[in-house]
Amino acid sequence: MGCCVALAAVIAVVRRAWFAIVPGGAEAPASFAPPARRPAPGATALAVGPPTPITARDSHPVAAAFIVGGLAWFAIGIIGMHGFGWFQWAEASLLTDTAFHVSGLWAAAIGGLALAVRA
Amino acid sequence: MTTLATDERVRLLLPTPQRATPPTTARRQRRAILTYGALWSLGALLGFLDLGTRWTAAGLGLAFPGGGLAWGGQPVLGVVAALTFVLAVFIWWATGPTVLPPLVWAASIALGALLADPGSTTTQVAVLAVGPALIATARLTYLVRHTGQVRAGARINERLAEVEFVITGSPGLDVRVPVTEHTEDDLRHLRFALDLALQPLESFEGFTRIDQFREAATRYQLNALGYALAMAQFTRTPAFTGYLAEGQRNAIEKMLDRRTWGYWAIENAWGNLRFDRDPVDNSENIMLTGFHGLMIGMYGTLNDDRYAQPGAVTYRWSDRADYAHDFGTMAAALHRNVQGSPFALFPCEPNWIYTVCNTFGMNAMLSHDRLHGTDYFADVEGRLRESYETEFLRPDGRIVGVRSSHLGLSWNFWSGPAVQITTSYWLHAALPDVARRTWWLLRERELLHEDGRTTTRPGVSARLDPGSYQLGTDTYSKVVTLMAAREHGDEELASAIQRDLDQGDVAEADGARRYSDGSTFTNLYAALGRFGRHSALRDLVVFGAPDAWREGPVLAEVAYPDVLVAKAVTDGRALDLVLRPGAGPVRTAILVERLRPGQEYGVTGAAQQSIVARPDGSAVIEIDLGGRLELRIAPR
Repeated sequence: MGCCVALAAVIAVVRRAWFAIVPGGAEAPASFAPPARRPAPGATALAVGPPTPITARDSHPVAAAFIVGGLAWFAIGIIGMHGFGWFQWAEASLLTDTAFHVSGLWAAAIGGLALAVRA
Repeated sequence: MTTLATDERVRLLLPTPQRATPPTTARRQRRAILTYGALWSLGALLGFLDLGTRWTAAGLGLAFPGGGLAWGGQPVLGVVAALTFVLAVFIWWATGPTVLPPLVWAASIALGALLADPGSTTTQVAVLAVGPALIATARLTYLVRHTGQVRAGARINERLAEVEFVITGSPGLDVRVPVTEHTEDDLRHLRFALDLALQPLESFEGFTRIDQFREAATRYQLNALGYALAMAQFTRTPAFTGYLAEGQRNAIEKMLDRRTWGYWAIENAWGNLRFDRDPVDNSENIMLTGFHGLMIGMYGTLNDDRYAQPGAVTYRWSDRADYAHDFGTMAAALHRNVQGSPFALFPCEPNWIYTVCNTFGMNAMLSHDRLHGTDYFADVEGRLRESYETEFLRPDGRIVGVRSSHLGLSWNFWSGPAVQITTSYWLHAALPDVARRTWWLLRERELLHEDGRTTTRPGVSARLDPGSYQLGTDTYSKVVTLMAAREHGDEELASAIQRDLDQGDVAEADGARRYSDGSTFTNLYAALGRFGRHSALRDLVVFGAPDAWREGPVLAEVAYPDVLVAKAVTDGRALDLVLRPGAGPVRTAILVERLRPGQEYGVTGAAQQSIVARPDGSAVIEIDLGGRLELRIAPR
């Protein structure tokens, strides 16, 4: 029973957070497709509603920027700080150093996830 | 319930388990525990060798996620790390990234080593004890529960020994239940599905868009759409192709859109560390191959074999990359994957095997075998049956909904009634006796009857709409109960649930109707249940359409929504139609095909009293449609 309550809580929280984060993620209540039309034999076919371009999937510049930027941030950070010594923390700890570099990976992961869920 | 001479009566007891854990599951669990034992031993050794604070913390982190943090003076972070690991396992289950739990675990080890201050020996011992203690507790709990389930199973078997299940056989040259006529309400719900299906291929208006991984994914809505339209054709209008067949084709072809199937490229990458995007030629993903294959099997049974042609099912990734398949390669992949899986059942998401998903794989193989003369299902039926009856069945008769193929683990959430009911429906074609027994058990202990209404016992999965992840609604439970009750010949119960659903909140637009408190997915399953009948799924998948339906005249083209087809059936020679106007009174034409070329036909119900079929076997007939119209076209 406890597991069920916990799982219900997880589902509810994840669902609410998802709809808050993903624009347009929430289902419109009781939505319908546009009414379809087909002609009688011999007439010309009609299709109602503008087609959605199939290339829409390829146009997520923000998500792509997150991926590219995040990976670049990670690579440049590692190479710049530890390879060439371009910059460094005034008072560095392993924790802040790790957090700094991993932030790029997180950004890339968020971008990848955004692309995935909008697929 | 209608019974025919070909039906048989069988008894099927619950199998008595020979040991607490089924053999393949036990092997996987042993392997997982041994692997964990090796990691735990290495972790403990790092501490005992006294190599320094960081090594000790790393070792404790290896022994248990967050263990190094807890020992090294960061107990809050330790708990956070352990909870993050649990969350990672949840995400692994939900979307398949097998790499996530090990990554989180590794990160917690690294963080523990980085932040560690020397901890006490007592804490060290306590951290080392957590993992083994949890495993021992889980095993003990399982054994106690298993013992109870064995006792429950024995009690159930005493009753099952007296119960005979009717396994429906071939409905013969005619159908089991005569083709019936859509009511006006039926047609409104059908229009909801048709409007979804008949929009341009690239358009997905009216579909729920939340994610492409779990139950609300577009592909499941498309599957349900295809099944509902096919069922409407099978039980109401088998002699009507027209926009009804076009809608099924659209649903099948929308599945080829990268936005629908592209999730697999991601899941295969983060679940298997493979970068092959092919959604069919792999060892998993039955959530696509099985479901999509069944859509094609239903279409091929009722219409034509275009999707059996090479390359007819081509999944498009981009202008430069696509994956060419057909019904044959999909069925072969299903067969190959069953053969290659130690469980016989094989995974949907990387690692996760679902019993209900595998029913679709079986149904797709059965359809292909019947249509194309293969023996895929017969070849693997024994292994699948054995696995459903041992690896995926609790001693008390509940089907285990999900199991990790790597770890052998499962959990109760997926043994809830909604999962059981859905499985009892989809299993009826391939393993009818198991499906019938599951339905009997559900009726005995899971369905509640209160104030003339029927629902399932409360529980998270029984109050969840999987098409929108909305909690607190039993609409989906009612819908799948309707589907299963009708399929198993429990028509009194099915009619009562149908009435209950119809008396609830509905929304209408342009002649289409849906239940307001159900997702699009749930509404499409509701249509599938509405159009079902006793053994409809089993007849459609196992026995197919009578020859007369495949060879006789068909209504091939009419205007939509001007002409709604409430009934269309042929005996192989004549065509009987019932038509209704969908957009007001109209004079319109209908196209009939598969007539005998040059043959004169008498027409009843139209302005003209006779027609002569063209050389291609077609004829156009003009009709005045102001209300319900019966039309008969018969050779003279």
